[in-house]
Amino acid sequence: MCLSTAYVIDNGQKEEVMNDVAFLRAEDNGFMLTTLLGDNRFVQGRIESIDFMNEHSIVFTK
Amino acid sequence: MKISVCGKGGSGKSAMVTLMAGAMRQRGYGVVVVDADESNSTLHRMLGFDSPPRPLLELAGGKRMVKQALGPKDASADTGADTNVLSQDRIAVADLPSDFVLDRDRIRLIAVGKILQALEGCACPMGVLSREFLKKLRLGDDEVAIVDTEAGVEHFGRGVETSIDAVLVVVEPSFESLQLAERVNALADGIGIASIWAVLNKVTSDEMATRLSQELDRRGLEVAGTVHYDPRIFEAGLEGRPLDGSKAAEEVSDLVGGIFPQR
Repeated sequence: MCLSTAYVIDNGQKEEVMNDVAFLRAEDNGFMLTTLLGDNRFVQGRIESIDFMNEHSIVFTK
Repeated sequence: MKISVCGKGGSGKSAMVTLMAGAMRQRGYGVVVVDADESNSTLHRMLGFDSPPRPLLELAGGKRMVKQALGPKDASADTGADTNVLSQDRIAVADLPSDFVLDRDRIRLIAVGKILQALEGCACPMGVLSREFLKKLRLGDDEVAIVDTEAGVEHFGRGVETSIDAVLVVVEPSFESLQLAERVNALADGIGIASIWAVLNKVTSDEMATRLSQELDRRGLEVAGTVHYDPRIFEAGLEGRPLDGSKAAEEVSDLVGGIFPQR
């Protein structure tokens, strides 16, 4: 599945925060995620990793 | 009830969906046909519509949004349609804008989206949209949804069957089709779908039907019906005409009658 799942690592805990992420935009101190159906969620922090091949995941750290 | 119609490419899934829709309608059900096949584009013709409905992908702003280099903050931008309906927890067919639903005597057709251009990317957005729409789709007690899937099994990988109640796998007389039916059976069973039926299609003799049934039985599949090769279906398909009034339609009606009660 090419659409991504977003995770946030906070205090060592990895939590899934959004499915079916279709778009990501960098903002001042984080990223705005948008799903295929138009739901938005702002994630504060930086990108730790993106897996384009297997999990199709984006991992953020606070 | 939501029924997914699966099978090998060319096995007759769209024809089966069309004939099932007519048979269900005759038995008193309101029918919602969901075209979740991102490649083939003639289901609307088989059902007797001149042109397809606007695809749900336009309602989502999906690929259009993804393709915009500086993607919009609001996914509804430029879609020309209200996307809020797709964000609802529950969606009734009546909630959709009228140009996204074709209706003929309570057989309604909804299309998810098609690959239209070379290099436009993969069909994953269609898979997600199919999965989410079917999950949210609410049907009345007298309604049934019949989903025409893409050939093969990738739709299982995309989770399209997550909210499906029953799977009907169309089996034509070929080893490849039998093998795919076995795979569909395993995949559907693996996600907890209780009702999985096979229907034999394009059968030319009783001996062939018996042999196919034995092969499917050996693979753990229940045969719910047999549809013989019907030149009227072949001709209608060749000319892009609606499918109706054929011997195959009577056999599909028998199949439906064996599975669903009269309303």
